[in-house]
Amino acid sequence: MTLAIFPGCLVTYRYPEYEKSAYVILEKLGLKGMFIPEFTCCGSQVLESVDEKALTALSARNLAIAQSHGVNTLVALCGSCTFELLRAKKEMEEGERLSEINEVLGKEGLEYKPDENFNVMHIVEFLTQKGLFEKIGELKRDDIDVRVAIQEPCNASRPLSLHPGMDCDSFNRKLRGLIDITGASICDFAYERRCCGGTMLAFDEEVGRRLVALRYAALKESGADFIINACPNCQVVYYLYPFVVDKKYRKKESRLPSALFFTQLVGLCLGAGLSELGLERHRDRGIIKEMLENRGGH
Amino acid sequence: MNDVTCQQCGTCSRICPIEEIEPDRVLSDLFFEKEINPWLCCSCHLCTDNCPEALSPRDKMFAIRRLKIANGFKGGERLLKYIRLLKERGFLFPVDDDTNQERNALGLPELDLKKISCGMSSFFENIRTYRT
Repeated sequence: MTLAIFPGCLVTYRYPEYEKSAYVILEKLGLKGMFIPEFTCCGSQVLESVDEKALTALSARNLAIAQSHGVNTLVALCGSCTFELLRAKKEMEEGERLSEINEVLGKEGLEYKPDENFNVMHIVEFLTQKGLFEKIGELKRDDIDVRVAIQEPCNASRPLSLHPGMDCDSFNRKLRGLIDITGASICDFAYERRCCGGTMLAFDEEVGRRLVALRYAALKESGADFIINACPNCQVVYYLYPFVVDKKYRKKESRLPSALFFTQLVGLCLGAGLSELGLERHRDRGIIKEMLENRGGH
Repeated sequence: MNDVTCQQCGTCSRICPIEEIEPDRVLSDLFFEKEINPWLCCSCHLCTDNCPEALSPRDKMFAIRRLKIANGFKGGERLLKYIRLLKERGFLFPVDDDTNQERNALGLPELDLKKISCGMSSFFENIRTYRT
């Protein structure tokens, strides 16, 4: 297996700690993730709103770049990237636009070659594959017994037509399975499976603001100490927006649970340090340290 | 597009996360050429996965967006700003040397910004010439 991580633009620009903590987990599992320095954005939703053909070609280009490095397992961190890469892959494999798009890519010396051994998946899918999931359990060093709420990333597992063999609960089971390994207890959160609403903040901020306010209220009700994300769009909703834009959430009494990437929580349970997981740059690092030090029996 | 299979069962409206704040909107109006705001979609695909007729209101929303943009829709400035960044830098956000410095601080390898930017110019130019 030749593996590479596809970070996408939001992780690259705002959340390199998600990428870093993903590499840390791979390393603990004895796997090497190849770094591809020329991947671009997947174009999700923005380019799709303007030019669908360019959208498919852009994702096909990223797939072709991966293949040109000999990669056969491409692991995306973002829900939207997962969706775009899988959709382009399917469209290219179904053949209709393969030659047309390869003609465009050919001018850069690139070609996407349909290959049944070339796989694209979200990192939750990757880490819960048979063998790896069990290995994470075996390598576990520490119980991270905190209370968490989970936000499922919509585009990582939907539409189901891009995920043969999965049912509508598969992804949620896998994500919860990984969180269970860490020793964290999962609180009921009304929007766990109902979309973070994050992309609306980009397309119609007023509607987005009303959507996320509902989620913040439910999150505070959940009793969780942390909200666990598996997509940078969700991290914008729970980490960036309530602090940078809607400043009322900065006040101590209205503070939301700290937002973490699931890879950071899994990394902690595998014994990785705060700094290698990018947690030293977290806005709530003081609170996080305190919580980790004071948790039961630690 | 064959939209006549929509039975107006209301499943998409009920399952759409936007329904909670726009309860009067009838999502299936999309399939009957009634005016609907195509920007109110968070692309969660819940409607696509639950439509008993295997239609995709979500995909239809994006098709209407493209039609509006092609017809000179005013108000898409923010969207076009993102597209400009994509064409110039390869990302929807202003990724630059600072991005690489942050990566360095975390022990992550650097992006090849020059190669990305040159690649994007070629790519969008190649698409344009292919079409003309």
